[in-house]
Amino acid sequence: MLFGEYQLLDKLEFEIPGGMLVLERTSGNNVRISKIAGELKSSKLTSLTHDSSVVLKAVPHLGGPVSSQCVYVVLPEPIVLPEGARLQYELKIPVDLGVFLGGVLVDVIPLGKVKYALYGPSDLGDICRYTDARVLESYGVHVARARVTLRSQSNNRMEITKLIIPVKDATVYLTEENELYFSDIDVNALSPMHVEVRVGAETSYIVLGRLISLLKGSGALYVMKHGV
Amino acid sequence: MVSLFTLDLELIARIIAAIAAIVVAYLIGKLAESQIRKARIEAPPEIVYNIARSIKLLIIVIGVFAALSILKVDLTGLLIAAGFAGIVVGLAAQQTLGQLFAGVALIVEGRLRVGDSIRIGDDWGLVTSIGLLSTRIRLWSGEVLTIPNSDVMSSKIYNYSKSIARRSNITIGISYDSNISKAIDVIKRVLEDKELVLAVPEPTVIVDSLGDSAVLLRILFWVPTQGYWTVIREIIREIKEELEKEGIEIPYPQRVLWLKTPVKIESSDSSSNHESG
Repeated sequence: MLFGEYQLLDKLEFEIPGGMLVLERTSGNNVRISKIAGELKSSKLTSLTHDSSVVLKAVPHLGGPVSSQCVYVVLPEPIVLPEGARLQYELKIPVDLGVFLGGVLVDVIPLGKVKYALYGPSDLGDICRYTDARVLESYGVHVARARVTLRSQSNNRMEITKLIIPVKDATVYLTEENELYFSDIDVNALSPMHVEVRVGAETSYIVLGRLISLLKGSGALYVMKHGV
Repeated sequence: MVSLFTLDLELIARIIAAIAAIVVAYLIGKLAESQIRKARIEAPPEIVYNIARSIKLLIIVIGVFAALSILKVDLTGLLIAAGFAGIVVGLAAQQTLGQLFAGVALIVEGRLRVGDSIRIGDDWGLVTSIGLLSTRIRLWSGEVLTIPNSDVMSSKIYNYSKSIARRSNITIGISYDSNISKAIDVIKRVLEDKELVLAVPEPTVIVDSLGDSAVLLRILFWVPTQGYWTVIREIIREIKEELEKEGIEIPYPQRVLWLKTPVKIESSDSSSNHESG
């Protein structure tokens, strides 16, 4: 498995989807991180501060040519949420490779091909990393499983075909069974134009007609205002 | 004679002191402007720029007043005169004042920001400064265009930095003999392979029209603004190469001529004559 801790004495090479990742000491504490994909080579220079340990960990989507803070997930099949319903679900979310030197995240490298999607209009929306069944099957991406809890607080039946998942405060962890898990995701559907997606925390409730947010810990919230 | 000389000396000293006051005020103003511009202020650059310039101007005006005071010029009379002069200048400088108000409106409204990529009229470029009287745009060709703010306010402005993504619209013609479905599949494959072509909104390829020489295919796809031109350049090249690989012809303009009377066409490499009509 690619993920793990390594000692960088001279040079380390890893096979990643679509190419090679090479870490090499250049001089003193300087380290060059190179990604080689066919004839294309991109590299960064950084320094190794504390020790010579290199940790490769799965991290949420943060790398790639476009800076984005969310993942646009097209659900394999639409989820119908009747009024007041609560539903547990499991999603597969692609993850990136985080390169940690001396415990500090110095680079994020996409594992496999990357696609993006625009959620909302071009002046008000967001560009998110895109994933659907086809991306998961054919793009050679690494995935983490995510437990999703969907709650409806709408007075009408709602159909959800996609989710926008914030990744800023999300974490990815490896279980003893070598399975990757993404932070828990809470989806609180208030209306088709107001669906809250919170990662790593409790969501909000409507109490006596007022919206009250209850947080268990720090969590990232994305409000889907442009339809589900 | 002595008193006249003393008076002259005193006057010269005052003049020197007045000039020194203006020079010092100018230097302080310039220093203040430079420090404000370099300071870490959480405000748009155009606001910082205009505040810095206004403070510089204010310090210079204070210096001028100090110089006039040193020269013992009666400032009360000067202020009254300045009031009248203000009315006259106001009437004479209507256009300049119009530009000034347009500049303030432009900054407050936030239609443009320093660093925005815009098209104004036929000019494309990057906004480099928004002053109180004029706006500067560095054109993609490298020249710096200065436009009076009143003109900026009354112009149609396309601001490409306001959108995070842009739709591209490319038309490609394929020959009438080519398989349209195959061409559409090839183009869609090229678009899907490009990381920066957005998956949503989904790229669309449609038969746009039946042209004089070719079936025109319109290709619509969205790209993040930051990579727009690079992607467009690559896509057009790759579509052409892929269509060629698949044997789909992008034809030259063609004309079918129908001649009323048959014409003899002589071939140079054969002795036989052909008739056309």
